[in-house]
Amino acid sequence: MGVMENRFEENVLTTSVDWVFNWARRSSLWWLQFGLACCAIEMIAAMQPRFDMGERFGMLFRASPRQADLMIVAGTVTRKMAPVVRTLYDQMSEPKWVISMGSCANIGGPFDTYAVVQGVDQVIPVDVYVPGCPPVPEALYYGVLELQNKVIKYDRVLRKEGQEAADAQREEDRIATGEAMGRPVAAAAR
Amino acid sequence: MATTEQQTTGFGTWDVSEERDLGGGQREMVLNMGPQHPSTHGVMRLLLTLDGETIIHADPIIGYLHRGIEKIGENKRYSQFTPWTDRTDYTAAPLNNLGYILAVEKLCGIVAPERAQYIRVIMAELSRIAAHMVWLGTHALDIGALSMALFTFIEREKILDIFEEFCGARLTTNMMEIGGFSRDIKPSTIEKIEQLLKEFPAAQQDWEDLLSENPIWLARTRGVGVIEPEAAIDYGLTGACLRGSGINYDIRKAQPYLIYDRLDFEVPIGTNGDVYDRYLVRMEELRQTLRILRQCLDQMPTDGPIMANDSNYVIPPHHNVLRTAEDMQRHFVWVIKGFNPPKGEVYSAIEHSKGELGHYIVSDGTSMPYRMRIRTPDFVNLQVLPYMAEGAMLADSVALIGTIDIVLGSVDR
Amino acid sequence: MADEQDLQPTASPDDVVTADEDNPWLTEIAEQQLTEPAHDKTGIAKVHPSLVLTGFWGPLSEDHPAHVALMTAFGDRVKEIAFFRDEVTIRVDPSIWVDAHVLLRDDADLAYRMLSDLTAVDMLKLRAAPRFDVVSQLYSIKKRWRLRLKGGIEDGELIETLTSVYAAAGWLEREAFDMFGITFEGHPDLRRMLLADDWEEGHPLRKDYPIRGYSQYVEPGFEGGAAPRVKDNRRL
Ligand code: SF4
Repeated sequence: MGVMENRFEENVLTTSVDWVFNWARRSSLWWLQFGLACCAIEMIAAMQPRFDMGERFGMLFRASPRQADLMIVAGTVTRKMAPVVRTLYDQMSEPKWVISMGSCANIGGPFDTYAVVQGVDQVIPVDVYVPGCPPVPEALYYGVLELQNKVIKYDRVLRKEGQEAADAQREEDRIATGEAMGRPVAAAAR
Repeated sequence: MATTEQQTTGFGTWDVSEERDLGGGQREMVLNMGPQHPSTHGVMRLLLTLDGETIIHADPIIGYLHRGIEKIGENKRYSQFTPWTDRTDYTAAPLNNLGYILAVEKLCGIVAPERAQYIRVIMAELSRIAAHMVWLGTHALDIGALSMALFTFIEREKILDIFEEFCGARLTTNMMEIGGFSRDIKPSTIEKIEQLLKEFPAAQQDWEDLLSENPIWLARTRGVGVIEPEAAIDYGLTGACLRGSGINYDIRKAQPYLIYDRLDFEVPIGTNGDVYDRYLVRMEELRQTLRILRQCLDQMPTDGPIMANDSNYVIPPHHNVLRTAEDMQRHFVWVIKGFNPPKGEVYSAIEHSKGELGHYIVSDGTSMPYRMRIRTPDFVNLQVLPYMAEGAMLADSVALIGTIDIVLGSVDR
Repeated sequence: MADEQDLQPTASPDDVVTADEDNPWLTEIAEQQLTEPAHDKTGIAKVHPSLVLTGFWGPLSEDHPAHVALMTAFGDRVKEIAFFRDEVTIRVDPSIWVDAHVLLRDDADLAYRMLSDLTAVDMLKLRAAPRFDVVSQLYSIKKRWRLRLKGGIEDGELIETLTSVYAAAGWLEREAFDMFGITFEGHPDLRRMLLADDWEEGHPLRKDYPIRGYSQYVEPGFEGGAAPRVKDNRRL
């Protein structure tokens, strides 16, 4: 959340700003241009005039991981490539999401061999799985839409520190909000 | 980049101490490109040794998409393996199907009926166009003609629609079967192809208007990446890389398979062997492909079997399976156990959109191949990159990668 | 339906010869092939004449010019010549592996100038020794013929590199090294190619290498090897 992050922590605005930011994030997911195998061709096709995913969802591909929010793992992750995928994921700045596109990235697909990682989720955390070999561009749409539903719910604390911390934070915010409005609130019974 | 002893990226290191001193305060520089790089067409990595902007040496590092397809081929029955051939070169799946199927048919000694052969040629040629579309779009994109990809993918979608109507899949078609086809081509599909034949020349003219005499395109491609004819043969190049250097070798003409000997088409060849010539060769190939399609549609018998009549190696027709006990049993055995081709070995090559696609199958008489070797054109063609890159400018490296027309799935298998 | 009849191996020798009148040797083979089918397990499927008589591999007899040339040069170090499906395979002793290629490449008439493919086959399950066959597919642009050369070597034995003969051999040999562990003597750049540099698990295309490799993913509960007995049918 950048500049806003600590300044508005204890303010009534927190939720709204979060929502506005998430709305902005959701509508302009920039994705890392990163094709691995056959699915990448479908991903490219999804971007091109007929399916036009970029314009419809405000998506734009970036060649540099530093500028990307979303990684679409389109294709087979081999054992030689897995460290690279991990490096790229680590280089992306928070918040970041991952769509695993195609059976290969989901579970290894038809390649149950010595060279292939059986699912990219052994390497990086995945938010949305899109099945298919390859998924048609429409399926990728659906995956992106699902991801958008997830992005709008993005909660920094939840993502970084887990459910409990998020609940505590929410509780704290609630009390702080009440105090700010001059209405002290009792801590909720758990 | 050339400051520390070793550059570490988390996926391998390269030794910077090999950077030699060039004298006069100059030093070589090793530049890493890829595997995640927009213009390597996938996951290829290139280590470039530079003197200023001049490339001294290029070392392509491949294998980031090595999936063990040859090993899978040795562990699948002949009838099962076709889907993996799609995924070898995914821009032109039907051509890969065809290469594999022809090898198996040669091994078993069966020949598809005439009508099936025509349909095969039609599908193969359509996928040749589709593959060239991907090539042209990405190659031009790399060099800087950003809009080409938008144009070419429009036409490509039309072809993918035809595939989808014919076999149900857009990209990984798995459409050919040993012995022919089990589903016939529909009249509406033929109509679509006719439509494509009508529309395509105008579209191609548009692209050529944009590129062929464009000064920037000429500056970036003319005289870049020249391959001498002798070197082309020595490196085993095939396809447009070889023909661009002026050597007339097209398997469809030299060793015709299917019904190519009945078709009238020309093999375009270049003169200078540079990037521009290879571009021209491929553009002309598109026109010849349209001619082939036209002739196929005219010559194709309107009726007749589309599956070879063979009791050993071919899946029994669906119609009979539901009606006769014998065919039902045969179908069962074919699916469960596969078939056992004779012992022996075959090498069957076809003209892929990128060059010679060869399948070398060693059979030990069981239902699985003993050795399945896929000789992919771009694996062999890519080898010429260091030769071309030597002395070229850094900015040309993307043009050189694009002109070979690689698909990493097919390079690494 | 006309082409269905075509499929029956009933073509008379006359038909076949007209297919290629320039090559007189075809007559001979035509008769040979029609009297004895090139394969047959069952006697049902006979080889289609168009498959046999393509002539893309040269004459199917001991008189194949490449065989003759090799025999005159190397004598009994040329082991055998085999034909299958109109393809010609010549097996040579690995000691003349490079010389044979040089001879075939430089022969003015044959001019096998192009190395289409070079690979290896692990013969572990097919014969006792030697373990590997190194296979090269040559092509002559001039003659439009193909030719396959084979040399058999043991595991650990060296075979000379073809990089001095064909530039194309560079990567093809590297791949064979990577996949089979065959060392090509004198190769300038023999290192892992398709697998990672630090791959430690051997050479995957060998026949004793399991398809999933040695470090495969084991599902939790299956560590012991066999699947656990399912007693409770709620788990089904
Ligand atoms: S899921 Fe299928 S189409 Fe996608 S990369 Fe894997 S094999 Fe290719």
